[in-house]
Amino acid sequence: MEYVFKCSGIDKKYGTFQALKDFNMEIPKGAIYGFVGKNGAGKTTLIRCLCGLQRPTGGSYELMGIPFDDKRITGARERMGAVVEAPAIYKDMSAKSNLIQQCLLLGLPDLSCVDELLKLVGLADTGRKKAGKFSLGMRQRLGIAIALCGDPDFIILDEPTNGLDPQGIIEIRELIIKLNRERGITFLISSHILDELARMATHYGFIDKGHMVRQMSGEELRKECRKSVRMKVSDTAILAKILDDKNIEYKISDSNTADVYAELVFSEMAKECDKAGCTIINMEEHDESLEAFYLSLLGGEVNV
Amino acid sequence: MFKLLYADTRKLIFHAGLRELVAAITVYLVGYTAMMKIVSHFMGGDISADDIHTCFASIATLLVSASTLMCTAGEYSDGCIRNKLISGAVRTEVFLSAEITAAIQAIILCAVAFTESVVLSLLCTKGGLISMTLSELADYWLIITMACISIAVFSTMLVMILGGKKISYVVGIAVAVGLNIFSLEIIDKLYPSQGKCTLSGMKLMLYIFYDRYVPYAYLSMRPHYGTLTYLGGSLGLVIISLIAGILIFNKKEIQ
Repeated sequence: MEYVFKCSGIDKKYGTFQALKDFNMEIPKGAIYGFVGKNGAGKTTLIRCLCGLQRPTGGSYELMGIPFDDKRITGARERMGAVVEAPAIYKDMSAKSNLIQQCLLLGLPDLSCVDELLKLVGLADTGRKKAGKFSLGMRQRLGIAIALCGDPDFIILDEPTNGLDPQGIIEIRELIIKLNRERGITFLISSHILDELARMATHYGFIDKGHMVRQMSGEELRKECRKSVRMKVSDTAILAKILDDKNIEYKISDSNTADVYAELVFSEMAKECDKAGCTIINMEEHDESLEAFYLSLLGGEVNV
Repeated sequence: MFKLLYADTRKLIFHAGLRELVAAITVYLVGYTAMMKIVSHFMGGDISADDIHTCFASIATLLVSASTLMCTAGEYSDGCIRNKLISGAVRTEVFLSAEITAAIQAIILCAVAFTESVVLSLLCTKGGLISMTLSELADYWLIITMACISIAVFSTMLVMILGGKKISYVVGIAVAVGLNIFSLEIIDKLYPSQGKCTLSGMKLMLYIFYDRYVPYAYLSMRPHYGTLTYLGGSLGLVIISLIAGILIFNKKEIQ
């Protein structure tokens, strides 16, 4: 698999505070990578290192196959765009002028993309209004438009839906999906709105205390989070035999609990279990959201 | 490098801070000329063109420092410096581009002050230049411009290494005000209005060094050394600022 970003054993220390510890991550080309973690978990620190704003204290990373200490890394960075924390915009300039500024910065010979980008992010009618007078949502859109300048292959968005109204959130989500599908742009999106992330991400990385807890594909996550019937029984070994005979998918959590991935008729199951010598203690529908999965992954702590 | 410089120069033109400081220079020069005209009307006599041409120097240190601090610190407060680095710009180039833009800014402010001084001299004085020849006046403006460029480069270096934090404003303005006051003190001691200079030994050497080679002193008094001396002093501060700035900025962690 081709990776846009790959890091191994990254450490980052601020004085005595260890922000990243032996951090590993792989972002496949063409993915929408959802980067999930609590406040202070180390998401923005990693993004800053990736963008070249800060240097890791240890470990290494590759951006588009180029090691971070290689001089050619600047060339790789020209192929990426990012909105780190607050959108970086010149408040004295209009939206169009900000985009022209970014195009000049990138040395783009043609400024025809400016109007197209303004239209794409819904800022085409802002005219000469200064960016300093924009709402939070408009600034966020402008930040994304700036990140899109130069037709990048890889875009990093740190909390892209911050400050957006519900309509704005839907528009940004659709924009990300569209850019990913039509232009093949790889996205790294850190977000606190996990259910929102679940609507677009194809891959996930869960970070906690500067350490990557788990990386998984969207498919794997869907399997983990899909609807199931959680059964509490006296003996899961007997239950497993019954379910195997019925060719039903299940997962044993402990000696008394099993998640069954099928619709079950309680009376039938009760009869069969009773016949096999197993007692059903209770049965309930179990639907694990990304948020619930995340909480279970980190041991039930909140503040996502 | 040139694409960065082009973008930075364009940003400078859009920056409200530059326009505000150009307006401040105009208000100051017009106000100063009007006040001198009123005073001379009641006291008798007339103002000379020399007075108008030399009055910008008294506020140049503060204006140039404030202007560069406002424009460069905005790169950090708006977060736009991140866009440059994310877009693959080399740190040394980002730093040099900011420094050259600051120098351009100083040249613009000096050019505005010079043009307005010429216009006001022509409109408001009868006798023209009294204690300066035209070539001395040209030398004077050249020295003022060189000093302003070096001060702008130094202030920008402070902002770039302090990361646009509020402390960079405090340090930048404190340095400008402090050295301005110190320059006046030095001139008072080296060239007392009454009697002879009483300084001696190391203190005298230090004061002469400051008067000769530190550009902040060039704006406190009319030129009394050769132009090359002033060029050397200005160039010295520029080189020190560039070397120190590049070394620190290349290792700086950007938020």
